[in-house]
Amino acid sequence: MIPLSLPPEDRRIVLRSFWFLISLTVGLSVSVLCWLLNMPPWTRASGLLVLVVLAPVAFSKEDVVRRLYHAWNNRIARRLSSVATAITLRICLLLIFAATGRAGSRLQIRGSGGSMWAGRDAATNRTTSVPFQAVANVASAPNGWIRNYLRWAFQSQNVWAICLIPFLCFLRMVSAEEQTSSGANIYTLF
Amino acid sequence: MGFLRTILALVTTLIALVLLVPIALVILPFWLVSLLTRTIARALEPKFLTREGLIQFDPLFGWKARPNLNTHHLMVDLFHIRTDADGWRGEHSLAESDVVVFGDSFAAGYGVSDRHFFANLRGPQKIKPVGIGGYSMVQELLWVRQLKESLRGKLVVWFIYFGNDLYDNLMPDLRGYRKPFVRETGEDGSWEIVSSHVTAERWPLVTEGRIEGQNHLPRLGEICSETFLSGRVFSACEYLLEAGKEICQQVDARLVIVSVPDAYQLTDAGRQTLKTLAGDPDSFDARRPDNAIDGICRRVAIEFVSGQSFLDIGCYKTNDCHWNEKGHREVAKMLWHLKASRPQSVYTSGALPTPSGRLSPMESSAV
Repeated sequence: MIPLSLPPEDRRIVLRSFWFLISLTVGLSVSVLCWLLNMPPWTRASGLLVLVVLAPVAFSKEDVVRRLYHAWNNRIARRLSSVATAITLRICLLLIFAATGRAGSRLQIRGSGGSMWAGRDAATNRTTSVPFQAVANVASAPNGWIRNYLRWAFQSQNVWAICLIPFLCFLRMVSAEEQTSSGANIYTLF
Repeated sequence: MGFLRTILALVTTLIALVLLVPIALVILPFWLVSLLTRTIARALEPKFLTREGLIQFDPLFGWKARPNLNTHHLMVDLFHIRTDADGWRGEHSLAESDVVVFGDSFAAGYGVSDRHFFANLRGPQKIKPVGIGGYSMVQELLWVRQLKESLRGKLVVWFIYFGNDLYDNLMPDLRGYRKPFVRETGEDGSWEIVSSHVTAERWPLVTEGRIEGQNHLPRLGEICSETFLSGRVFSACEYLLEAGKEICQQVDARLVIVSVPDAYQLTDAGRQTLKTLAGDPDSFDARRPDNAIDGICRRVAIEFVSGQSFLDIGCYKTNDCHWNEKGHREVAKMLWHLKASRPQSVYTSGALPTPSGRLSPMESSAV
């Protein structure tokens, strides 16, 4: 899932792509504004002029663009991410978890007088199937975790947990953390 | 209970999704910027080779450059790299070049594309770099020996990068790639080159830190201090420089040693970092490697130019130890200057000689 923040590695091609998008957005906004304000038709092409003027800045003033790029990430994207994550988690907690908690719990707090010892499952080496264990290979694929999650939800009789999937996806979308998985051989020797 | 829980979860999920709509609408434009930036960058970014694509195993040198490449490589940012039939960068051939530069990734110009590479900048002399990432002075000496006849009458410049060259001279591998190294023979402080272990198999004794390149700063800190390691590395360096001088003398080549400081040696903050990593902070001196090479070149009577005489922190890339485009311009100017100057018959203080052969004003050591 693409995170909210831009890539932390500010390579030239990423900087230029970002700046081109910003220039395009500003140019389009100018054109739309001229159209909304019923200005003469020729002014609606001013957006193109804005694009032509702004876009080359990524080549001539790379340092400026780099600062703006990092400012976008640090001052806008990360702050938005924090706020959106906090709100989403509170909604989940105060609505979904609170409601589903009303349906009771399978957690055995008090024993029925006998031992609460549970034998270990030789196949899985676990005493309970409740914890969600991600299978590494599957979880690392872009949507592999959903398949694994669904499997766990049905096997552990936690079908209600499927309702959390949209929120989990949304939380990934608004995250500002990027999984960097550069290979060991990607950087050169020196 | 499970059925009831599922129903409750469904109902509250729908309510929660409705509450999230305004947040999603606010987030959406910013998320689209992230998505489209990555999409455009991915579409426009050229394919690049990783480290293993640039090198190939060699039983003598450990590895050598792959020939006839025309590709990109990633080092913080992508740079375009082309190699000739021998695997070296640079537009000119070895035969037609007046200056031959031996070294590691600094000599190979890693980090900048061909048009900014010091060997390709337009100048009065043709420069041929002989180097590839990861080389230590041991491998470079072996190349000097290998290419001896091609160096006849030329200016031979040998880069010594303080970041890792001195230390790696003593190591049998670099991040798992086996390579020749030097060790003491136990007789009167002499040294020998060892290459019996060089095979294509990965060296088994490699720490994660070395693989990720985290070792070089602590080692540089140690080398800048009065430590057992610093004594060994400079003794090994002297052995290698003596051997290099002997080869160059046999073919009337003028040998000049040029030190390449690590960026950490050039700023107060960097020096403080090195000092905290040093084995003996009290004896730490960021100029120790230059002073030591200084002394070696005096004894061996080789010309020496200190990199700190023409490089500053503005010559280095940020987040990478290599030179940027400004650094390459300075290096090119230094090489042209060196070629135009008369050979110094005795060692100078690391000053850049002027074309007339006199010392430049900023350096003032007696010879």
